[in-house]
Amino acid sequence: MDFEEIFNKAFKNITVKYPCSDHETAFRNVTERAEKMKNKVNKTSRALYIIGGFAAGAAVICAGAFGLKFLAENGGLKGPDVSGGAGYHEDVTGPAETTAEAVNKEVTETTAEETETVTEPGGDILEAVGDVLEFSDMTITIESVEFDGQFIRAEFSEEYHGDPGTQPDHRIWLNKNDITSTNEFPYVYDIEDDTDPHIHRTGRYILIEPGQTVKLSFGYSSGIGDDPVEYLGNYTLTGINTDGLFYVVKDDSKDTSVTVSQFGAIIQCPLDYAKEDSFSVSVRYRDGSETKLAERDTYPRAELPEGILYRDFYWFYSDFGIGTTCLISLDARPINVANISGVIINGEQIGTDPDAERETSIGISFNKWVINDIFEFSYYIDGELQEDMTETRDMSEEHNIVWNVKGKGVHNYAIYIKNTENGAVGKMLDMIIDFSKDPPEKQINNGTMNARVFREIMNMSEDENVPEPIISAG
Amino acid sequence: MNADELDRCMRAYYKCVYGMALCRCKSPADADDIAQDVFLKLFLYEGTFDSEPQLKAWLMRCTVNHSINLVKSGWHRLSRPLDDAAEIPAPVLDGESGTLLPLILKLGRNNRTALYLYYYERYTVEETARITGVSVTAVRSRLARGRQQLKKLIESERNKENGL
Repeated sequence: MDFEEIFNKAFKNITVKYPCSDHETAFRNVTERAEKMKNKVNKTSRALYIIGGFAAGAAVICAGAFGLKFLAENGGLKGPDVSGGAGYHEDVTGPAETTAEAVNKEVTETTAEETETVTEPGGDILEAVGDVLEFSDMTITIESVEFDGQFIRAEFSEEYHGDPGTQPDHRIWLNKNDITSTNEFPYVYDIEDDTDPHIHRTGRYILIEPGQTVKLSFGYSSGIGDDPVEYLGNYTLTGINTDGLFYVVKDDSKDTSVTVSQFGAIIQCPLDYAKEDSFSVSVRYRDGSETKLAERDTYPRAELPEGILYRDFYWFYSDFGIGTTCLISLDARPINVANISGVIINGEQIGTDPDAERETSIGISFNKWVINDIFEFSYYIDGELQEDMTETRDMSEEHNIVWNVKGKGVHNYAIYIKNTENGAVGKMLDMIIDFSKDPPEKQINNGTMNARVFREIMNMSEDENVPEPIISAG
Repeated sequence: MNADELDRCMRAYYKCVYGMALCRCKSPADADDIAQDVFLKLFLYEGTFDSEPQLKAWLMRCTVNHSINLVKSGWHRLSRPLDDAAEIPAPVLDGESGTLLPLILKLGRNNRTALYLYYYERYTVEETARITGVSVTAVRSRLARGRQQLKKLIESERNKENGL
């Protein structure tokens, strides 16, 4: 099956069958929207990313562990890309109207072997969307709340009415199951004038247990006597993005561990990163009392993607056997929180990629032979002569041949020897290498190398008392 | 970036950004929206690019990000297309065009993305990993998984045709 041709043809066909807007229309739309954005009224829009948190038993989601950061800036919003959210379509009243309805849908949970789908969300949607909250020094408008089954994202705008030069004392928090969360989101204000504070905050909670329902409320208190206002919503995790997703959670109380039943695992972790020059993530696992490093990645700042970074980490438990219990920890530096450590609570085997290109080498060694003759060595891959490798060797010397090869699938490697005097040719090595295995598997055809090839092409009789050269190959 | 530069970039890359978005979201209308968002972002971007390939890779990365945001947005989740024709129809074997496009569109989004970037846009595995924000090993796994899934889908369709 020629995948290259299949995919090339299909993807070429997709834009022919479903053409895009014409250039003039697209260009006009883009430039007009840019103009509108530049002329936007002096009203700031903030995105508070809230992911419903599960709090039960020993596992506690700690928003701070995922890089809860408070950034103050002038003139705009940075961090997660807000423009792709509710503001994706210019008319943001669309989502606000529809999210007022309660939505309950069936969930399809898929495995890695099936077609990947983003599962349908479930649970009640916050009904406060569109509400305007008036406080003595602040006006807050809940613009939208979105919940996709995992992440809760609320967008609101604020206008501060306090005296110039003052800083308000406002808090927003999440109440999980009627218990006020300790993870507050204190504001960092950078007041430019008395009506235009610029605030930026990000925070995330993740629902991790399918079917778990968490009641979340969004509270606000001015700290100067206003009563907190709560907006309630019930959020149920109804599915997990099925790309072999793990969630890393922070457990403050004790180490917990999971039993990894298969080789290899995938972690996908939402990470928040600071505006540093580089950002590194390390994955370690513990085997008994020994901590080992599975993988470490470092990302230069310029290469960091916008918004939330998701990483897939792959490693193979080649150091210990199936069924070993281990603790996986994830460190992310440098960010404003301590190391994130936690456990993998789900897993998926990835095994080896049979289509991956792998490397190996064929090693052949010869001792000195009693016959001083020059032989020509020819190298073949799948029956094709590798002309640039053809060489001559004097068999009165020791030789160590290292033939580095790489490929995908199964290939045949052969070495032929030619007597330069009489032109006789014999096959010394005929080997099959299966690159779909990791490491690649080598098998010499007919079981053994033909160590007698030199004698054969020298036309020596069996009676001649000349010991064979000792040849080894692997 | 000025309007002339934007015009040049859109003429050069709009179709491939749209194609990437369409591959991911399977809706021509959404793909157009994503593509225009990406170029809006480019228009407002204050940085510079050292080369055309770098610019294109940036556009592809933005397209991936925006399509992720679209999937997660309430608007996408709760809205219904006004016209069923706005969505790519249910996959059937496309005998006329001779492509397996409908089956390929049945593959998982992440696998489709990797296959699109690797086979059609001719990015290497490493470049695909940078664009999609995952590891090289993840890309290889997605490519392998995508091919395996396609094989199964082809066999399944053939069995259906043969009445099995």
